[in-house]
Amino acid sequence: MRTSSIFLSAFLALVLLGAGCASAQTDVTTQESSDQAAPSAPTRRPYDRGQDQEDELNEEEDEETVQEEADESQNEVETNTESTAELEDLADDVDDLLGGMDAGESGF
Amino acid sequence: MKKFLLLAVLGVVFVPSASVFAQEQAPSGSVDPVARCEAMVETSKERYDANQTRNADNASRISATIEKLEAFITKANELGADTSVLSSDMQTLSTYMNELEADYQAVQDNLSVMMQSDCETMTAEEYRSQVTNAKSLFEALRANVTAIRDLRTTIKTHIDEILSTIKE
Repeated sequence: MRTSSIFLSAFLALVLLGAGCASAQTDVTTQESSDQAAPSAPTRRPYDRGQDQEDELNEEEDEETVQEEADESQNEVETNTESTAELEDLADDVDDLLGGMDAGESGF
Repeated sequence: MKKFLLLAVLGVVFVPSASVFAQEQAPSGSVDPVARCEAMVETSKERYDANQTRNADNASRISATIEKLEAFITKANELGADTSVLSSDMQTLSTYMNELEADYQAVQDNLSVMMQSDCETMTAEEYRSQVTNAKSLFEALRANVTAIRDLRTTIKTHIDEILSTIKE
């Protein structure tokens, strides 16, 4: 009688232990499913906020870079235009100078 | 009819006579050699002064042209253009400038000699020789100026090519 009580107690303990493990496993699985199902949940963690700020900074930097490149391109166009105009002025001067060459007359 | 015959005879007789008379009165046959020499001396002085002014202007133009071409070549090089042909033109212009200076000096030296001619003793042969020599020297100078004006066209063509390349 005493032996059967011991076995009964051990059996109950095993059953309870098994039930506890099953419950814990269910919790973990539920949590994992929840994480996978809602990756972009509105909940903002500190890491996410930092990432957002970095993204915004990068975006601003990109915009600045694009603007700088546009400015540089514009400056380059203006410089080339000025240089070409300068070259054309020099070409006109050369033509005028040589066009004014005069041998004159022998006089005899 | 008789009148016509008479006019024809008179024409045959008097027209050749008039022609001979005209030849005798022509100034070429009676040019005073001294006066002609003095005119040549005067012309030599005028040409000497005129050449001096003109040559100074020509030399100034060529020097300025070379400076402008150098500036053009430097600028065009900065913009990545090939300016080797234009550089060669500039060298040619520099050579022409030296030749023009030499031709000018020869003309002026000859005019100096002509200005000092002794018109009392100068013969017709000496006169003709001096004038011919003066014309010949001047033609060399004129040819040099013509070459420079032709080079102007060449330079313009090469400059236009460089400008087209830069604008592309």
